[in-house]
Amino acid sequence: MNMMHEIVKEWLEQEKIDLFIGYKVVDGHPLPCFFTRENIDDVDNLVESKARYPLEKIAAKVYSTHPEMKIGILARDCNQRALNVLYVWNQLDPEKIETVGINCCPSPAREHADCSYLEREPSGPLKTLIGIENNLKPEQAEVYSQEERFKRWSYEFEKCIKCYGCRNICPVCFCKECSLEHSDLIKKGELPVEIPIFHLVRAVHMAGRCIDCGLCEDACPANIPLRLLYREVNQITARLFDYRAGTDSGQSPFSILGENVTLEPMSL
Amino acid sequence: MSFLQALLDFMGLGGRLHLEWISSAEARKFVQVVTEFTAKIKVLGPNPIKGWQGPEIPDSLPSIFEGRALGV
Repeated sequence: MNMMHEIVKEWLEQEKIDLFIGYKVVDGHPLPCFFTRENIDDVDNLVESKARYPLEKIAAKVYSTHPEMKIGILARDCNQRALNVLYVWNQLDPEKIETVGINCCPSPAREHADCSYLEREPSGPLKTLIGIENNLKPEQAEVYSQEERFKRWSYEFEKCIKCYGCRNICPVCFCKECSLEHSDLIKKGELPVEIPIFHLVRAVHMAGRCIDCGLCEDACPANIPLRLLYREVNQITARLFDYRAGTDSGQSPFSILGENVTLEPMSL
Repeated sequence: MSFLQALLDFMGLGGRLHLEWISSAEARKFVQVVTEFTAKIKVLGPNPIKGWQGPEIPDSLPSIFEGRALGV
């Protein structure tokens, strides 16, 4: 029995948490799984998993129907940043969440790690010629002229099959009604995709929220460089508002609600 | 607005978005802003979204394509 199993069992037994969200190997594939006090022996099957899922999004879903439940989560750095954003937007109560920290993705900041988000395969020749290489830094995508940028991004966006995978996997996409399903903006189920509205609407909504986990790009069947696009969004947000989602506390500059929202009519 | 302008610039539609608050009493300012923006847009040329005909796949693929998956 390893350390992680001991901690989770202890927490469950001491009622520090009612539910733990981690991974369990099912038919050879690690999948998100709930571990509970009633079925405590199952905790021995808990694994860290190299695969990533937005566990905090699952927690937010549970919280929306069972706000009293105390939830434990297996958390890498990206999960932790996503949790911070969900706290800021009142989708989760930090009092109700306990995390077990685990090793994280390889990145310029952290070389030794064991998660699935490794640097992507270099692009094929066609994409290199007329598209956008996924591994570019935002500055490197700005060497092209305006005309060239538009052509290259349009090539990328045009591949979109409107599967909504990027939105569905995104840990910080939690709106009940999504603009991408609003019939005045987007025609659901019709291709080609609206260029560039579809992707820019999502990009704008990522401002002040995106925590650069890269799950959207992992999920994208068309290999659109979404992470690059949202990284630029993050850079603009940092430049204009000095706000970094997931690490800065405090309300997002894009929130129109303010700190104290009440439904009481204001006195004139 | 600044955010949206920066984002549009990043993907190649830079300079095509402008916001200005003009009071109904500021007719001169209105004329000036519209004239300047019109001139600016004329220099930029037609909106590429309208004229976009899909990706331009080169007719003859360079030799680097031989024996390799195209990759998207």
